[in-house]
Amino acid sequence: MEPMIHQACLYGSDQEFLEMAVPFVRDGLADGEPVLVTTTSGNLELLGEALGGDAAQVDHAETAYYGRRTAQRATAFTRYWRRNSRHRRVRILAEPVWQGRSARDVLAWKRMESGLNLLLDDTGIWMICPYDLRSVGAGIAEDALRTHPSVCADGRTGRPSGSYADPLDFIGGCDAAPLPAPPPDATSAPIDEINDVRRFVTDEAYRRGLAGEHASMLAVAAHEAARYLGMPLTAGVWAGFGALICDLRRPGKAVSDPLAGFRPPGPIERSEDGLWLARQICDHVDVRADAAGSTIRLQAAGPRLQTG
Amino acid sequence: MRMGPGEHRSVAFSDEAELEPVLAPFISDGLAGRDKVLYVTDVTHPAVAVGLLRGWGIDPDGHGGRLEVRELGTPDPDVMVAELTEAAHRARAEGYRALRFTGEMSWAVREGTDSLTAFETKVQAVFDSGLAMGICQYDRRVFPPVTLSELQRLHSGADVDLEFDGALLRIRRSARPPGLELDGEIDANGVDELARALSAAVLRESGDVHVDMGRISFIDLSGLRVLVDTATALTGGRSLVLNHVPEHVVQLIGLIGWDRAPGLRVRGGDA
Repeated sequence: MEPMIHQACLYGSDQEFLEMAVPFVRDGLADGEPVLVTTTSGNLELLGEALGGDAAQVDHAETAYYGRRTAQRATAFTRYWRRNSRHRRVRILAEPVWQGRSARDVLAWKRMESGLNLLLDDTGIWMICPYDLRSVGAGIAEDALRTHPSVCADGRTGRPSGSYADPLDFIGGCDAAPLPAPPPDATSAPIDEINDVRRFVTDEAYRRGLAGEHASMLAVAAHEAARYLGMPLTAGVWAGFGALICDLRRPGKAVSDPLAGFRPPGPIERSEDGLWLARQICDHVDVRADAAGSTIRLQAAGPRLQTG
Repeated sequence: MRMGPGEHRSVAFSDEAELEPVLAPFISDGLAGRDKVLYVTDVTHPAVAVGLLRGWGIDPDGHGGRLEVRELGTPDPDVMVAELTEAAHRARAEGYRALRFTGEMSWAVREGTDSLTAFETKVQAVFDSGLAMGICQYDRRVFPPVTLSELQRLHSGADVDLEFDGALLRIRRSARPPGLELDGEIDANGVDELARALSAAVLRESGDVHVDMGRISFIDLSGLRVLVDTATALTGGRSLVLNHVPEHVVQLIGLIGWDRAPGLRVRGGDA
């Protein structure tokens, strides 16, 4: 398998974006390679006009709809690659949305950018991630150089980014802060049997107004996270603004793989498949391990979520 | 179905694979617990039956005489019941809870219906004593349908369609549409039984296999994987059709991308 090429492109104008994007896409199409462009609606329009007739051969998606959360985005990339795996090289131009995100969200997306170096390691994907210096903050642009081994300005060549960090070190830094302690009104219980995890979580979800399919999905996420963590454990549930949070804590057990649950299930069952499902269902899944044990914290949308 | 001493059930089959969901748990539960097991064959050579057990994950030699497979001697109801009574008493004397008996009933096709009725009535007394429990095996290929339906009334397991009766999950065969009905919750506690019942259904039926999911309140990823693996292994244009699938399970299948799995058809609650 070809190694992945993962490059950042820090651009400051539409012109600079196109100077990278047009050759990157055109070269791929010329070589018969699959090309996926997932970026803002503004950049999709710019690129479409510049490509002219060639645009018809480009797979495209607006970033907002191509993986709402990091685990969904990583999964979407893996699936695109699997669907095109007969090709030696698969090109992806992937620009995340950074504006308006919470600090927690920004950290999660940086963490994923770094994690992609390991997750897509031997896929042969050539991924360029554009960063719009007109809108992203200095912190995000600096970390782009830490999460991408090289930078690219012309869509063809690269040079070392200079401050690339080992992904495990970078992710370790993202996970360094302890999770906030559960609030006093959290309900918690020690649980021995795995089928009692879903009963506890379902009951507590209903008590806090989450019902129907949403409660069922949260119960599945909690069950799968518990299956990954192992029994017995202590479960806790509480409500936050717009969210229902569920903590699962297993004393004495250290969960080690920080990227577990980012790769979608394949034909062979793996222990991380359940965690992957939990990450698809939930808005946030945080995993922490320390000397005392491991915690998986699930956050799903609360009962007042409006979907139109 | 988990059975206890005193119970007397039957299993009707048209392929040896259909015996597995019934007999494999019956025998392994006994060996894992405190029972002895006696398996009496008629048309099948004991060595072939031993091979079947191995195929079901039961080690026929690993239990120091607690599992005996032998060929039927005299097909006389009185002699057979006397032998069974003696074996049940011996098991109790040796410190076991009970004797688990299973036997091929094909001898009754040769001996006649009166003989069969005599056996089934007399053997009931042995089970009623609480020293034994049993499953009588009826091969659909050799017994007339009318005999089979009469026999079902003689067995306490009148619900012959019930394939598994666990604490959280029940699996029942269904004739229309052909396949299975599931009731309860599916996780690690029922997933092996589900896999067994599905593979038996795939062998039993010639066309699509239907699974009614309308009374499933929970299924985890391992349970969904069993359904998908069964579907993708089907050949010849056959499908595994999931009916009355709860809305959140439809969503889960879609999230995982298994809604596009070859051989799988997912129908929601209105189907």
